[in-house]
Amino acid sequence: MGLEQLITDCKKNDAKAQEQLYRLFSAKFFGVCLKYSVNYAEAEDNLQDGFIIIFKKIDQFNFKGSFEGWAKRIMVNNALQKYRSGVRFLEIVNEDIQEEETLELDDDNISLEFLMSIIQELPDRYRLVFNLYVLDGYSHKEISEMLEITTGTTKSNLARARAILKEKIDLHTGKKIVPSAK
Amino acid sequence: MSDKKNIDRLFQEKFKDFEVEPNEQIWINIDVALREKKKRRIIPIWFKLTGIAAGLILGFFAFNFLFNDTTLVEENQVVIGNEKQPKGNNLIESSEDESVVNTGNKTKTNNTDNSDNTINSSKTNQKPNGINDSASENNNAIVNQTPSQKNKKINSGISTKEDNAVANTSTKVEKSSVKKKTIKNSITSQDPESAVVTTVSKTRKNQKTSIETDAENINSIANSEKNNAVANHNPKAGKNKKTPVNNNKKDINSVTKSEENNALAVEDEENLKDNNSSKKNLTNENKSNTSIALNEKTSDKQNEIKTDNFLPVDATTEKNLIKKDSTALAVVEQNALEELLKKNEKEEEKKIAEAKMNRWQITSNVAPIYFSSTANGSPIDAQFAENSKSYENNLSFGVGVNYAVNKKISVRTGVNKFTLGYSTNDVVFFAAMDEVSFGNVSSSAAGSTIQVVSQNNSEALRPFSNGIQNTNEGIMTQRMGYLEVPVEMSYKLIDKKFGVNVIGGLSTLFLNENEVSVSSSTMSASLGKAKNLNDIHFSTNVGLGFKYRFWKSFEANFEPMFKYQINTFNKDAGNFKPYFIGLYSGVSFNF
Repeated sequence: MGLEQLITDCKKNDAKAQEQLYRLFSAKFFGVCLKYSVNYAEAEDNLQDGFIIIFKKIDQFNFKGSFEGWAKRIMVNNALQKYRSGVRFLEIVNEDIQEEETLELDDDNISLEFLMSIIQELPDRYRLVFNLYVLDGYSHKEISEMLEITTGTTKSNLARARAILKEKIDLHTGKKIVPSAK
Repeated sequence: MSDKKNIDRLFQEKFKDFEVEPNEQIWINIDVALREKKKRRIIPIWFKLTGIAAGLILGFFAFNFLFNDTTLVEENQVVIGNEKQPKGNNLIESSEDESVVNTGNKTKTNNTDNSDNTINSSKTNQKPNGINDSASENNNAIVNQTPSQKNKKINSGISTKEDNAVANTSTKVEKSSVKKKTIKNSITSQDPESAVVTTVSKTRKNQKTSIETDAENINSIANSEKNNAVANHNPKAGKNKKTPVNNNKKDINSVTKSEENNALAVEDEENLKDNNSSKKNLTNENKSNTSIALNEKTSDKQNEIKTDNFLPVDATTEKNLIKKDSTALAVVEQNALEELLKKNEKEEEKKIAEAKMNRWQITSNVAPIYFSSTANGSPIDAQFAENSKSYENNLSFGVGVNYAVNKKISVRTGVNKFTLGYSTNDVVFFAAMDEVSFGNVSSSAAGSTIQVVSQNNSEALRPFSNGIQNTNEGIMTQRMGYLEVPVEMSYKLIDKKFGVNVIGGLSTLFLNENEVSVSSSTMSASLGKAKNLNDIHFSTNVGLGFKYRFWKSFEANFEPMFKYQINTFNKDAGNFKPYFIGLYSGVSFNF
């Protein structure tokens, strides 16, 4: 059964089609949720809520563009939802944007789990901005709209996120890292 | 291999195909949530239904209040009407004429026929009433010729409309009339007096009297050969003053006379009382005097009064004098009759009062509650669906109000408080590494670190179990406390000292206790609250009621009720379909 047919069936609220669609995307979207959440439990919640929204709104999907892109955007938006109210974290003062950090490291020493954990340890907005920009390819402008902050703020958040991540990776790899300037 | 990379690329590469299989439970939750939406739509329908039910019940109440009022009035009319109806509808004047003739004939034949006279006259009197619907004045149309009994009836009829003492008057009249028959002529002559005494208070309201009718009465008396007849008429005259009959005869003067007549009536009353107190000869003389006085006064004041009046007066006075001997007996009889009448009145009043009283009933009840589910699911978490459950037996207690809409049907409501509980057997719980949330439990602070899994699949579902030292095997208990407000109708199948009724209705249940806890042989701990319990849900109730009236207005009740719960859970009921059986027993008080 093609994806298109599956979506059509989902629009009819067909339980089997919905389950198939879920199976198709759950792993990928759970990955997305994990990146945007502080922990596993929150990621599960986000995945669950996100899928419910997807199934509720699947009527609105008109087969323009990829379904995955459409659905992922819902997932991400849902994950961002709770941070939008803004009260959760303090406004972060703009800082000078640092140069891109480069680091030399041994890929094999760094596990995905470790990277995941340090992402989740980031302050909320740093994490979101880093995810959105670096991993999911949104522009600063898009991010600023999604998070209802200025692009200046997103840029500074991103730089701070990078710095924190680098520091943690450095610590983790036992400072084997050669300074980027070299 | 070490590469020089910027951080972004590192993450991008690593996360390029980042996928993690989520817990299977998530799909179950999603699925439930999606199905939930459909179920949700049922709720408003239920609200509507309960609204309609409530409306119907209220309407039923209102209707019955109105309906009962009208039936009371109708009954009154029927009682009077039965006596009256035997004779055809005559025009007022003609009926009077007839009645005059009738009374004349009957008095000639015998006074013992007073009861008959009363019927006839009452008939004639009432017919005009029926024709003229206009209120109290029409009632006044009572003809003077009617023997005292008629007056009683009519007066009492009027008073009953006011007092609702319908039954009283009719029975009184019957009894008094029966006794009159048995009593000798002399006695019957006295009866009217007693009647007057009793009716005086009632008849005071009717202030208009037609003097012409008095005259006719007197004429008829004159025709009657017996003294008794005379005696009868005197008291009647007194009554007549009070009873307004302007409509019957077209004399306009009668209206103006009414005040004068009232004055006469007062005098008569006094005279009558005097008669009662004074014995034998004195009473007769008084009577004769009063009758004369009446006639004279009326004649003086009314130019139109026919000269006939004087003649009968003379005749009556003479006859009264002759009577003397018989009156002695009559005085004694009077009192006895009065007492009887009063007794009857009281009894009837009591009866009516009782009939009214029994509409309301308050009940206290206590019931053991047997809780269960028609399906072996788990509302807490799907993983416990297969676990065996043991259901607690609890106690319900409450109070109720019962309103008898009619003899068969009553509506009731009240408040009951009870707790439902059950335990999920064969669970394993242990301290989790970090906060866990599972199923439909919103964890309390203390409970958030307790992981509970079913023993059946504890291995499979225990992802973090490696580092766990202690696991406890035990049960998980869910407890739900409710305030129940039932709205039920009961229909009486048997209604005697021992009674049986069937009961059906709805209850609204308000959640006031919500707890999930775990316990093992060594410890117990609270997990938190269930998230999926509705604050308000309903139950449909059916049951049988047995009662035993052990004392006047006290009953013992025993009511086994089956209550099937609807909409207990707002989502993810996990195929748990709860119901409970309560054996309600209590004592109720009627008032």
